[in-house]
Amino acid sequence: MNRVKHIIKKMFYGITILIAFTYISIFIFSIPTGYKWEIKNGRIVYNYPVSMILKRSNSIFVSLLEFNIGENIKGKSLVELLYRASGKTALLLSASITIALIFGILKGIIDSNKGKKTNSSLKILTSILPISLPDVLIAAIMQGFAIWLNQKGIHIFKVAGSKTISHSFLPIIVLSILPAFYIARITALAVEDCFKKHYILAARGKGCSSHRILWNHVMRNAIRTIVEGLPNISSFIISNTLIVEYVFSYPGLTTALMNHITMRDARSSAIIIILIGFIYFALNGLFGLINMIIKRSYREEAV
Amino acid sequence: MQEIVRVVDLKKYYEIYDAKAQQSKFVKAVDGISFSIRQGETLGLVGESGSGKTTTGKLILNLIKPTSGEIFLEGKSLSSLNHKEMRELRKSIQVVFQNPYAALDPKMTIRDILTEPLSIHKIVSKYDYNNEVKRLLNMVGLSESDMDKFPHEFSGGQRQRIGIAKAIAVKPKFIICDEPVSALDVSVQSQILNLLCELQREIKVSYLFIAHGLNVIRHVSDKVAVMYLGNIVEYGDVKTLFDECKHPYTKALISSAPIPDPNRRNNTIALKDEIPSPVNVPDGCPFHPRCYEAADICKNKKPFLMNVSSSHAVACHLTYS
Repeated sequence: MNRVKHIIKKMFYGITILIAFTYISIFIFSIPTGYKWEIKNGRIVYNYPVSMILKRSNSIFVSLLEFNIGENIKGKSLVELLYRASGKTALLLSASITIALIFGILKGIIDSNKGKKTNSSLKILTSILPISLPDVLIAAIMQGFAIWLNQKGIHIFKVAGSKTISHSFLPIIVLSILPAFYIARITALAVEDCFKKHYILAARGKGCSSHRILWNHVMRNAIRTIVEGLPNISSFIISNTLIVEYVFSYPGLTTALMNHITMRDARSSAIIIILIGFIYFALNGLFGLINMIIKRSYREEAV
Repeated sequence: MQEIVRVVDLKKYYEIYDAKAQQSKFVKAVDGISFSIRQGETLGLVGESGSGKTTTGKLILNLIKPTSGEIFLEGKSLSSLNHKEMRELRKSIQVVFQNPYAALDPKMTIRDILTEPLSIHKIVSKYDYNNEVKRLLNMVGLSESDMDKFPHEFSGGQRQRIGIAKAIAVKPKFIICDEPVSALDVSVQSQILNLLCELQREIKVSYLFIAHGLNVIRHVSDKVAVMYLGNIVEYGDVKTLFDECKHPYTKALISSAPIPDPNRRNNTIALKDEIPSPVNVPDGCPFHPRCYEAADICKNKKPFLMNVSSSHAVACHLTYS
């Protein structure tokens, strides 16, 4: 019962924040271009009354609550536009998270000292350095690399666009780099922490091989720490999607958002923001669900 | 009786770098100890914290490599064994750790924990795993219904029983009990000690029983070795050692054990100062700075373990004189 109350409370806070953020976004996008204010005779004077902006924001907000999606400012069907864009972004996010998890966990195991006293600083540096680089730089480097490969006659990667599935390869790789090395770092720390435990010493005393110790004992315990760290990647992977889609001209949700903000289409922008918000909550919810399943399988208290 | 374990002049030094003095120093965790354990026998290893008891246990288990000295298990020198032979030998030697909360993998069920050594060493066929796990649980006084529970669902005493079941699963000849009852309540301690004694009678296993509680050692041991700063200072049968101890440190240890009788005065021998750092072991006898009977010779010359009778040896100049 307490667990259900906790989940309902979390959902309520989440929805409240989403609604508040959506309204603020609608208000900001409803401010017309050319809006300005000045001080005349000791009073602030606006060229557009705030009440007008509020009225416009309210009408957009009400239409959203009525699920009136309709068309954008240029008369194109928003449903069709968003359906295509969501599909592209979902492909990008799901593929990059999958690659990040596989590569990150394996790299983390390689980076960890596995119970030995010393560790190579170079290995740790190879994980920390990519985390510290800005995503724009990584995207630019990868584009340069793809151009160089194309010049050499190797056409694996397409530099920009979205016509074929191979156009997605480079954006997926770039988007997966930061979360992969973040997961590698938390995996390495979790593995090193597990190796210090007494039950690992006991396993060695029993005659377990290093392979058995790593996969049967260490990873079984480390996976919990790794899964608990996953919700942290939701926020930066979604923010990095904006950069990646823009740099590679990838027609996903964030590209659509940028286009509609440029067009000052407040209603469409608000709808896309809500959609991105749902993706963020869905990702967080998925990681939370995995965490809960793992806790339940070990009969621990799932909070 | 056959000799199961023999330790000859075992040393373990850890190198540390002293940044202030800008030189390397050595922590002498174990500084030249020798003893042997026969089949069905229990050797109690007693001493203060930092005397090298647990390090001795880890050296015998081959979890750490000795700096010098030899360890013989069933007549085979550990240093001459390759990886495969060592793995085979691990069937004969097992360990029960001090902390029952940390010694069991929290993400494995009891079934998995007890099945693992059976599958590694192929003790029984895989179709008999369940039956063997049930048998082990019954031997240590736990129920078969506990098989699918996780360690966090048990009390400390129950976890220690599981640790003991895990150790006897491979039918070892020798078990190192590293302070197996220190982390438990007094009422539970006696149950675990009695269980260990019962198992010894049943399966004829030898123990190296490491503890710092003399009462516990007296209850379970056939022989006792008293350690101080990595050295054995006194060694002998439990009766001889407790009734006729010769070394001042042993006398001080025995006198410090509380007597549950308000009418009996306990003449506790209070040792001065703290135990020295194992990095700066005093010259001569390592105990002389704290010894109430120290003579000049003790400051210059290190005493070695000498027999005072067939079942008793002491490392003390005053005993020789």
